[in-house]
Parts: sequence; structure tokens; C-alpha cells
Amino acid sequence: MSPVRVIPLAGIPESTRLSYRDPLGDQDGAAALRRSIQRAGVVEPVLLRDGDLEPVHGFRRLEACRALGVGEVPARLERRSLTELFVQAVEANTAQAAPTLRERSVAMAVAGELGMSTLEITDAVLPALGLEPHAALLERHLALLDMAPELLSLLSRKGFSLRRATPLGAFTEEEGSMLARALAGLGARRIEEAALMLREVCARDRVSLADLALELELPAGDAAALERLRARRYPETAALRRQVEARCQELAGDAARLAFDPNFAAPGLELRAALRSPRDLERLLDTLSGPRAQELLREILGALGGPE
Amino acid sequence: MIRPPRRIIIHPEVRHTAMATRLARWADQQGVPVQVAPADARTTPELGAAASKEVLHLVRHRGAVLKPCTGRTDSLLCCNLNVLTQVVGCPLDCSYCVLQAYQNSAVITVGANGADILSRLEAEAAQQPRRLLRVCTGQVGDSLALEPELGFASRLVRQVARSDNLVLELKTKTDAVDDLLPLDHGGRTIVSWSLSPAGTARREEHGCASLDGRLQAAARAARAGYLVGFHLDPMIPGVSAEQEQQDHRELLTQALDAVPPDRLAHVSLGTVRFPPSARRTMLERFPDSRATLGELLPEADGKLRLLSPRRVALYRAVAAVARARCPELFIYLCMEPARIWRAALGSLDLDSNQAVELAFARSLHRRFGLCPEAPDPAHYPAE
Repeated sequence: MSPVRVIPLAGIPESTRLSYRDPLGDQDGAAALRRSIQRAGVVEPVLLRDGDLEPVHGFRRLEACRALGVGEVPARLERRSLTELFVQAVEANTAQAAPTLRERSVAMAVAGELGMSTLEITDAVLPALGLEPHAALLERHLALLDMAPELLSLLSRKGFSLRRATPLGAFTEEEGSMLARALAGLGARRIEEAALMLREVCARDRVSLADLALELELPAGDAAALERLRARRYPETAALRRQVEARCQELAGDAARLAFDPNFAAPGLELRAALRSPRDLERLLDTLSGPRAQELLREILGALGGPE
Repeated sequence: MIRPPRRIIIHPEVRHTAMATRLARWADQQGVPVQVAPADARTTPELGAAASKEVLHLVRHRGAVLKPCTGRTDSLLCCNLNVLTQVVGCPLDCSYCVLQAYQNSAVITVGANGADILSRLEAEAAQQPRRLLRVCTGQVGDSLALEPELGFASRLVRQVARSDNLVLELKTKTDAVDDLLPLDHGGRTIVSWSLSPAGTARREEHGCASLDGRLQAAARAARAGYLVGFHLDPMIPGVSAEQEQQDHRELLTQALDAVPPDRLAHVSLGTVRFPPSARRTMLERFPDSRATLGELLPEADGKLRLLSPRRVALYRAVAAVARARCPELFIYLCMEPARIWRAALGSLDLDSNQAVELAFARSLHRRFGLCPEAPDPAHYPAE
């Protein structure tokens, strides 16, 4: 373990991307934590990544110190990878208190955003959270996270828990209806959507909530949210899509429309050109047969697993 | 460890067949209850899904004796293997098995009219004497898992040995080859094993032999003169693309060490795939399975598969190992569209089922003399 050093608080970035624990309200102990720091200082050092000082463990202490205007905090600086440090932090937190439903889901999502594959999360993060390394659990927690934050928080407060071998979509119909009614009563549009989704899942008793969300045609305002959802669930696909989109844009600008389907289960790439005269056709041919266009087309083909 | 049958239901129509007699004798020795009943087991209420691995239902096999492989669809390129579905259902319990989604029977159904099946097979072969007919069992079950009880694989091996234009493939994940070893197989039977890395086999393939057990069985079969095939299928995604490629390159290297190249008929490659509706069943029945992990998206046939670039990279990596060790080896893909074949294997001439079947037949003819004459496209019509 690295030695404890005293680090100026101003030098620690306010990044919270590795923070997965529930926010601490005054009722839940935030006030007590501040009193303790005022009285005795920060007793347990926070954990920072060596180099850029990115916080890994101790977000609540850092927040309390900032609120109190504390100038320096004790910290351990570790050189290991961010994913290793994150797993270490999760283990340390779990040893102190069992994570809540929301905390478990967010921790798994954070791990995904750090680039951990589903297998790595299953093997490392689930045990660190005190869970068995079962793919089904990961699936359900990520599906939970795809719900509106308000719904997730309500589920946690209502004490719903994930039971092993009980699919998310299999809250009993009664539970689902009760929950859906309660949520719909809250009024917020996202919550209504989430409630609708949950009711659908309970009624149809078939796909995971995430799959269902992907099937829904969300209003335009939610397209960005849906894109984030897709990117979180399918990071490899999302990266591939970005690669291909960039090349399509360079190749044909607005004339290329990408209905991206990397497995070609449905038509994928559409290239539109207005051909009003033979001259237009010649220009199109010139464009597509130019060296840069050929290079881009080969790159697209290569990215999609085309012939060597 | 294969679960032996715990209950046997024999339809009165087949109670006097050789297979029913043999099975009844085995059941008597083992203390397994036997019931002669006309009821359709699929509607027998007391047989729940849990019983599906442990109840044998002997019936008369009806309809065509050979059926096209399920890969023979418009969207996939298929090697045109013919499937003999004498047994439907399997006592093995693989987490990724699509039978979980497809099978509508709560029992293992066994066609007990073996002599009739064999004579119909002979008649099918006689209709196309100049075409090498590749026939397999074990497509909707395991070719050898019930061999101690049924003995049908041995009968098939002996029958095919006398044929001029049949090649039999017995597909298994067991090590139960010992009954086959002394048979006169005439060099016309390929015993093939589905292989997975040892850890995957332990975690996903319940009731199957270990990887070592399968490879040792393959070596015994090869020493007895059988041709051997390996199916690296389904390959399950690893922690990363690099890791899964390394795991499967090592797996194939191990397999190629176990069997001399002159006994190895083919290697097939495929990645995990299943209909979306099977996902939930898999997660419920096998919560620690890795088969549903990874980014699985619908392919042209609607089944979920890994992203095509990742599949292509995996196939290329594994095929390179096979080609380096045995350039003559016939390597093919299972349940993949033509564009993936082209990208993964560079097989530009394999653009139809007919072309793949012909290439396979030519390989078996050239390497093992398994055809009365050099395969001619005229005898391999498009379906």
C-alpha cells in the first residue's frame, strides 16, 4: 500500500465519474461526517490515482471537505489502472456496508464506462459488490439502470430487491401494477414512460426492460437518451457506428444516411444522389471512383468485417 | 456425467422392435421403470420440463428419414448436411442449447423402428448413387449420449460401411466411443466432437465429457481408423476479442495435437447464436453462463450473434491455425451468411450451398477416397 500523503484539496479534480454511491443527505450522515471532520480531520485517507489525482475512493469525504473549506486532505496515491482501483474501492465500500440496489447498478455502469467488458464486470465487479458472478445479475442491474433515475431511486426506497434467478421483467404482475400506478401518479413524463415500460414488461413477461426500451419509439427529445442507452449496452457497436458514420460523412456528406446495422439483419447504408442529368451521373461516378472515396469505402468495408 | 434415463415410455406400436427390446432389457437391469402407453407424451401432464432430460419416449419414426440441416435457409450458406433425426432431445444440458427454445416435447423422443429407418436411408442413397450423401445424427440431440441404451449408432456405422455413396457423421460431446471401436466402419464414418476451451466446457456444457476426455476419445477413434471432425462451435465471446482468439487458437492446437492430420476430415467454426426468445430461458436456467454476455445483435436470420467484424476476426485467427498445420483440411463455417464466409475464409468460390457441398465432397474424395468417382457438379443439383 502506498504511503499517506497530504494533498491540497484545490489540486484534486472535482471528477465524480467513479462515484457510484448514493448521495448522502444530512439525515443519512452527511452532517455527522462534516462534524467529525471539523473535530478530528479526515481520519481515513482518500484514494487518488497517481499522476492526475483522479479521485477513486472517498467522494463523500472530499465533498464534506469542500463544503467546510478544508485546505488539505490525507490521500494514498496509487499507480494501478483505473479499473483496478475502482474494483478496490468497491470492495472497500462493500466491506463497510452492503450497497443499495441503485449503488450496485451504477457501479456496474461505471465499470462499463471505464471500458470493462461484460465478462470483466461479471468476474470482478459483481464479487466486489458482494454478488455472485452471474451474467443474469449483471443483465438485470443494467436493465434497472436503464430506467428513469426517479424510478430506480423509488425502487430502492420501496425495498425492491433483485432475487437470483428472478428476471427483472418478472416482478409479479401485482407488484408491477402497483408500482406502475404509484409511479404514474407522480406525474413526471419520464416516470410515466418508465411506468408504462414496466407495466408492459410485467404484462408481456418476455424481454428485458432494456430491450423493450430499445424497441420503443421515444419522442425526439429522448433520442439522445436512447443513444446513450445503446452506447452503454453496446459499446463495441457504438464505437463501430461512430467509425463508419465519420467515413460516410466524409464520403457523401448529407447524401449518405446510415441506418446502422452491423450484422446486416436489415438494410444498413443508404446513399442518395439526385441524378437530374447525365452530367450528375458522371459526377457521382467520378466522386465514388476517386482515390479518397475508394479508400473510405475500403475502410468502411474493413470496419464491418469485409474481405481482407 | 451423462444422466441416464429415469423413465421409459414405449408406444405400443414399437414395443416389439429390436430397440425397444434392448432398452427394456437395459431398464430391467438398471431398475428403470418402463411404461407401455399410447398417450402422446407431449400432452402428458405429469411430465414437466424438468423431466425432458430423463424420460425416453419410444415411438415410430415417420416422415422423411433425411431432413435438411436447419442452416439451409435463404440467409445462410450451408454445407448441405443431411440430418437423420432418429432422436430428438438430449440428455446433455448445454447452457446455450437452442433446443431449450425450440423443443416442444417434455421428453427425449426416439424413433424405435431402427430397421425401417436404415432401409429408408439405403433407399435414399440409392436414388442419388453418384452424389456423396453426408448424413449426420446429433443435430437435435447427441449422437452417442444414448448409445449404451439404444445401440443405434453402431447399427448406422455398420450399414454405412457397406454403402458406396454415404458418409456418416456422428456428432458428440461425450467420450462414449468404446462401443464403436471394434466395428467394421469401412472408413465411412466421421466421429466429430464439439469442442470448447476447458473452462467453457466446465461452465457451459453440463453432463458432457471434459475437453481432455473428448480429445482422448477422438484419439482412440482415430487409432481405430475412424475419420475425425472437430466443431469449434459455438465459440463463446471472451473478455476481449484478443482473448477469445487466443483461447480458441490454443484449443484448436490442442485438438490438432490429438489426432493425426491424415485422420482429420474437417474443422467447422461457429459462434454462439440463439433466437432472442431463448435468452431469458438461458439466463433463468444457467445464471452463471457466459453465453449471453457480449454484444449480441440480430443477424440476417433473426438469431442473436456477435458483431460481424468480431466474428470474422475470430474465424480468421482460428482458421489460420488449421491451415498452417494441415493445409488440406476442409474448413467451413456453420450457420453464417455468405458475406461472412467470404470475409473470414476468403472462399470466393463458395457462394452457394451447392458449391460448399461439392467442395466438401471433393475434399473427402481427394483425401480419403470417399466417393465412387470424382464429384461432378451435375450430380449436386441446387436444392
